[in-house]
Amino acid sequence: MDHPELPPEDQSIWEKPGTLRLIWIVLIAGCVLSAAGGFILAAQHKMHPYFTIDKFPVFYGAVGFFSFSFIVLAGQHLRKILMRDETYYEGDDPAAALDPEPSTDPSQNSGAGQ
Amino acid sequence: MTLTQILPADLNPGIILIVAGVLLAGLPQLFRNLVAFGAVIISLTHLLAYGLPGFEQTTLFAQSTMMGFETVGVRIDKLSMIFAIIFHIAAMINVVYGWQHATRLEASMGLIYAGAAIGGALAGDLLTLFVYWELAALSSVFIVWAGGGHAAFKAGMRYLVVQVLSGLFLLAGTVIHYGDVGSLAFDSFVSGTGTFGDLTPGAILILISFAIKAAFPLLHTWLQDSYPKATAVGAVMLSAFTTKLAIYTLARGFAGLDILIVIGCVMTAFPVFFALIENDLRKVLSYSLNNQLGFMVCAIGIGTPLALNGASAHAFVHIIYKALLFMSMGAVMVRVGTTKATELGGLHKSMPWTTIFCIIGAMSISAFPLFSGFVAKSMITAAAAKEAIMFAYMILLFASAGVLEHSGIKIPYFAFFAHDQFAPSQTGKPRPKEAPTPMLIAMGMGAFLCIFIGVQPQYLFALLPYEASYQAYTADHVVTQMQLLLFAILAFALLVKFKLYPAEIRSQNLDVDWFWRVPGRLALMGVVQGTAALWHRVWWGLSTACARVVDRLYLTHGPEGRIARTWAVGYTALTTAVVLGVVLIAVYLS
Repeated sequence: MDHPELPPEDQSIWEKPGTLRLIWIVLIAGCVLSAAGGFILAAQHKMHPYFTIDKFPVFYGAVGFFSFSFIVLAGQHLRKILMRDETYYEGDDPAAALDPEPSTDPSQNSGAGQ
Repeated sequence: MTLTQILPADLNPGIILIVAGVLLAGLPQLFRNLVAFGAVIISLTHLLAYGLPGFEQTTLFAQSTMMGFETVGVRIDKLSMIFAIIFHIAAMINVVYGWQHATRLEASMGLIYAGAAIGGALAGDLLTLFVYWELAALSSVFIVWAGGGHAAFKAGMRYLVVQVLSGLFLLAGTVIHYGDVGSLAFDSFVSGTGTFGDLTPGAILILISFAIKAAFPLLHTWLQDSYPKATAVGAVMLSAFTTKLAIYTLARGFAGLDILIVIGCVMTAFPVFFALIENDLRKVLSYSLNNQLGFMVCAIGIGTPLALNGASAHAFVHIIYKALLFMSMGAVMVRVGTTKATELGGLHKSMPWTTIFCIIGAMSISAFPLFSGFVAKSMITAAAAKEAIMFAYMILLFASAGVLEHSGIKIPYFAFFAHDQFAPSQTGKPRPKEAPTPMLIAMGMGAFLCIFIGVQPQYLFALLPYEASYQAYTADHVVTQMQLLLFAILAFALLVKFKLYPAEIRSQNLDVDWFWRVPGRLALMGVVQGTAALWHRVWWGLSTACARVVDRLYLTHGPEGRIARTWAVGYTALTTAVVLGVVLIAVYLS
């Protein structure tokens, strides 16, 4: 779904292009620093690996990157099997038709005390 | 400093909250809040007055014999103590969070529910545990129902069936176990080998009972079904107690059971995929809860002192940061009326405090250094590694990346950032307001604890039940964890940049409960209709048979029947003489 561009007065600092660029820089710098930290600690024999595989100084970075990517790229295909219409379970229930739609009025949903 | 025990030591602190919860039902809101607040303080003070026990030190109170069964109302040791303390903290946060928005029913049942969980954690025998186990189930279902509407009612009914079923398994297991060993004592059921095959039938039934409440895979859907249907306040209450009481009971009864390692690994891994495609952020949190329970179950299966400390510490911090995340989504619910990601975005502009608290919860659950999750979760992964259980270690790392995806990034990103859905220039309406003050205070309490435990873990470590040395903040540990998290965030940023991250879609995603909600329901309806048809046939048969009997009787006894005809006097006299003759002969013969 495409979302319309926000006018500048509605943008917060977190949506300004300069901030987003800065976030990218900080993120990449953080990755480089943590990877460098792994190499430095490995050189100083301070990494204490448990298995053979985690002797690689950027092992945990690789696990994080590829696990996250796998979860997102593979997981979204579950929708082909599992996704149904929002009212799927209410569709064949005659009683559900009597139940009004949840209100979007905040005062109706606050569960205000009695 | 030690506290003086003013209340009787035989009084389970949970009972204080249960009694107060009953009183709450009849009080106006202000008194309700004050009484609830006071009850939690009194109960916690009473608990702390027992004193922090030492390692392997157990003190029993309220020992009695009931109908020949020996029961122990209060058991104080380090394992029960840490869970009782965190349940009190959760109860206190709940009271503050619901100060303005908890309904009468929620306030009352919420306190009873907390009391039942505390009572269960301190119960020294299986029968006492069963009583609190069922009370927790019965009180919490009202919190689900308080969500309102038909969907919440039906989810509550499903929840009730599952929870009561768990109680029945516990009771059946207790009876069989008592028959086997002649004792109701609630101690470890695991033999020296730690294999499932060595469990007795009673222990297996009890394990199934705990497994249901701990939301083991395939038994888990009651959690994702019911929690998101509660109110903003109710979901926070529900997130704390039932599953963690189950974790406590597993740690008490089944520590070192090998099968729990595999089950725990599955529990950590599968919810991350469901959480990814889920649109309702409170349901995402429910899957996330399931994933976090997996870490604890895996640790209990490993069963070493370090692993069990990890499970306890993780349960402790998890209750706080999960409540914090549910509270932030509850605040969104109150202000916007929904927690569906498709309807949210940009809320950081008008709900900055809620955003900050949510991010603190997200960083805690993702286990960033200086946040509470880091000091607890790492204990579990370290325990798996030290026992050389490589598959568990790798799956826990994979699941850690999954946690970052659904709870660390998805929740705050889609609710508070992403696409601004509330820009006045687009909607023509003012932005939603910041969360109400009591909710902000409660979230602030949770956020403070998340950071405090992360920065000063020694206070949490002092509560841990077993003697095991562990150093959370070592250079390699911090570096490897930062690598895992930062590279995972980099993957997220790249996936979003290249439009590979899936958009949120309004949908219902199927889970295993489909089997009993669709074909199971059809089968049940078929059985109901079959039974009705059979009954109609039986009723028709009985009615027809009765009608025939009546018709035949009518033929003989009706106005036109033989019995009803007028008898002649002589025939009557003859009949009477025959009867008298028969009687005379009978008397003579006798």
